[in-house]
Amino acid sequence: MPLEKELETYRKKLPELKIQEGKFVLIHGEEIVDFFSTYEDAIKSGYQHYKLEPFLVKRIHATEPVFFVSRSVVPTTTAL
Amino acid sequence: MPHFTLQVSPQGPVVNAGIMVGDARQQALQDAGQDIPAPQLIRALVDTGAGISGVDPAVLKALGLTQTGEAEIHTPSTKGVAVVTPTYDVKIAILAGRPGDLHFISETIQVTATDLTVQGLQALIGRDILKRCILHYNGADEHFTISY
Repeated sequence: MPLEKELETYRKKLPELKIQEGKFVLIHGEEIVDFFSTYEDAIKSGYQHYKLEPFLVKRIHATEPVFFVSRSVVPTTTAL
Repeated sequence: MPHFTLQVSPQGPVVNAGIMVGDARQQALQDAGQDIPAPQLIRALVDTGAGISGVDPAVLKALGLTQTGEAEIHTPSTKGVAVVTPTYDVKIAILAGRPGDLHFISETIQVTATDLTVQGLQALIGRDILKRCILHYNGADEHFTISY
């Protein structure tokens, strides 16, 4: 599964990441690389550092938010 | 403030749009000697009921994107529970009425892969994009205006 390691790192380190809640974290493998105020800055840094290798950008939330979509659409649950 | 006005279609407030690879990924592709995929021209519904924008998987595949995040999403199709869905980084340009009639271009945003083909659409423009705009929906005259 793509980003499996990065997502595991996020979940494992969430207790210590909470101090940066609201910021975007860049994770590569097991490494917490940096924190950013905007999604675009985090994505830019990811591609600058890791090019086309997998990396994760995720907004830090103590409780994961749920996005509601009122239209009956089918979200994909596996990577492309 | 730049703006455009369009007729409300039978599907609702629909715009022509281009989905493209973000600037940073473009640079990474160039550095790797790879071709930059051409922007995908699509029809997108402006949807105030969508908390996050979604793009049809076939469009994202055509752009050769790889997953860079995930989000929890709840729709009527998920039967009362939220599901975790991969997310991808793209830019969206609204072309308004005619091809080449370029209006709003988003910064790089996070979108979900959402199957919309049966609805005759390829994307939902959600509130994550609309938060940068003013949307005026004139139901009486069947048109809508987006200022940005």
